[in-house]
Amino acid sequence: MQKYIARRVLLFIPTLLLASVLIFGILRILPGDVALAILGQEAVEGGGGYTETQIRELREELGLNDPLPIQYAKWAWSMVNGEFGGESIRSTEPLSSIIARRLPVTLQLTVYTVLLSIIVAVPLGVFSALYQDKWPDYVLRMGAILGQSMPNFWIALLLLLFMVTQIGWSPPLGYSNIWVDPFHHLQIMIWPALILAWRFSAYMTRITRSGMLEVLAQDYVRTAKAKGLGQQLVVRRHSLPNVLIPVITLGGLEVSTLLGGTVILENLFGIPGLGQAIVEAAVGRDFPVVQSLAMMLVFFMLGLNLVVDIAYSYVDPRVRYS
Amino acid sequence: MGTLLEVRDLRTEFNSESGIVKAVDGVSYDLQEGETLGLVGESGCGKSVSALSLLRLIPNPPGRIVGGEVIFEGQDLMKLTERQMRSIRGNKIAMIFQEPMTSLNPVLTIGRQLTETVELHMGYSPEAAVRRSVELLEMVGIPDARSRLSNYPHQFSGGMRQRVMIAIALSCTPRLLLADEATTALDVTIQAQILELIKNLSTELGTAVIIITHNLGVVARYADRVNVMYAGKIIERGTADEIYETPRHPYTRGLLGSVPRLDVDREDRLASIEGMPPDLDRLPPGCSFVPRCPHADDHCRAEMPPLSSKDGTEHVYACWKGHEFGPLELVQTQA
Repeated sequence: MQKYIARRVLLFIPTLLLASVLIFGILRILPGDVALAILGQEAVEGGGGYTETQIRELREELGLNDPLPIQYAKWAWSMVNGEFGGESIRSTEPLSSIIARRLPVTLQLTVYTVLLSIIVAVPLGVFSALYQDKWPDYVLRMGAILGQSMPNFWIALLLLLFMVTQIGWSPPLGYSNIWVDPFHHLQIMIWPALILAWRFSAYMTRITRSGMLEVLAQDYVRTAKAKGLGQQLVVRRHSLPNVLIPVITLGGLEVSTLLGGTVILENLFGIPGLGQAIVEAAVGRDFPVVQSLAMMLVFFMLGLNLVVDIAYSYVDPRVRYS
Repeated sequence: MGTLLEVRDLRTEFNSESGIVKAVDGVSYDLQEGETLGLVGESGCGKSVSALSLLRLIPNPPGRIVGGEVIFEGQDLMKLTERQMRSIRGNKIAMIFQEPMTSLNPVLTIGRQLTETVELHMGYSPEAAVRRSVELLEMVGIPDARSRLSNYPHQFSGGMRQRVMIAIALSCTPRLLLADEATTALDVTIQAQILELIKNLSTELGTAVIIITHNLGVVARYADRVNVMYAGKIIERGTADEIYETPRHPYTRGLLGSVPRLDVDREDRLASIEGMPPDLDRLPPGCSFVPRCPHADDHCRAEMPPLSSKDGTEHVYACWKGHEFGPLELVQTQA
């Protein structure tokens, strides 16, 4: 097992390299000049102008005049030496501190969503399968299809609109750490988590349902019934563990889609997570921040896939990695 | 010895796209305590469905038991509540299935799959259940039983898995064991071992066995009496000797004629039964075997013959002409 994990982690390296080249390259293709942006903003605030020399000096200072391979090498080295890509061009805040502040928020939102979805989706999927083609099944399947077909940002906007215009309540603007003010924290986190969970649990309900139907038709379920076990034991002990195998695999893959959703919802609900930071930085052409945060997301996905594979070996005794 | 099981006019149907399929169409038979009964027929003749019907394990939908009585130890199983039925399944009536590779749960240990039955039906504590499971595995000839309890099914071979299935089936000392093609998926040498095991253990425990198979060799060797099924009905019944010496139904005669035998010299090609088993949703009005029967006449086409015998013996057959047939010439009686 340790060997397997070590090998998988080693295989991260080529993936990370490729992802870093892509992220770096895309950002250089984007139009817009950060030096101009900074000077322009200063000029507006200060009421003056700026000169060609100033632009050249600032570009030199920011390292933007170096050849691209050198810029890439500098960035890549700073990713591994613990600086996580240096500091923000705009705020000069070190990236290590940005990540330490922002990553936990996004992780929390993801964890809430996944937990909510599992708690809701697995029982509903089982229930739906047990009532296959009867009205509870139809109702649940309709709800699942709705949840899967409506875009997150659209539901979020409708919800915000409804709350503001109809009940005169909007989620708090400031964010609180869960350890400092749990109630306030949940007040702001619950809505995006619910919206994300609707979509995610819709998907999970569907795969749980189809997995359950498949398992219920297996010979070993017939054996369990022939032993005289009741419905509850047949489902809980003999069927559910077998259903979890596809659910974990497909659910793990779907978390990548979920991350896309968190980027949008963090912005809509003013949640200071990685997603919000990436969008802000991209708008301000803050290359180091976008690069490093995008790499964090890549790293997060790789780690998640590894966790899914390890979880697999616990659920399915036939899979033992060597 | 008394009668353990009486099946009266059992009918099981399935809904299919082309109509209602009468998989079991008025089957009646009885079984003495400790007896071994063979239930023989081609694939799709209703033999497995009739066994699953006894335990009321027909998946519904699409199937349902539409009529009949199954009197087991004096009570009609068809009238029991689901809860009462569960206390009989795996306890008084146990079943072994055809596919040892898929009949055990892949994610549960052998130990868990063994202990749950005795915990459920006999109220054993977890420790007692483990002790009992070790005994059972030793009884079915699995070496190193204690350490194998923590193994998973994929760590066993097909024959070993079927031994585990037998251990599970016999764990509560059932009165009746249904062996549904229990050895069909196994190698020939393993088949013999498993059948011997079932025979010895059922004799030891006084368990009656219904062997469901299409393998006439198995039935000849292990069954006391034989029911031959065709198109959802029993078409011939007798002792194993009677069936083998003087089969009365053309279908049984065809089946026996198509078994290759090493104890008889023959130069001709192996005989076969012409045609295919009929669609159970489109049965002809008379005898179901008419389309494949070389002896059929208008009487056969018009009316289904009852299961009876001309001379009033226990060897009964559903054929108007059955009494005309003599001993099957190819068959030399086996010991």
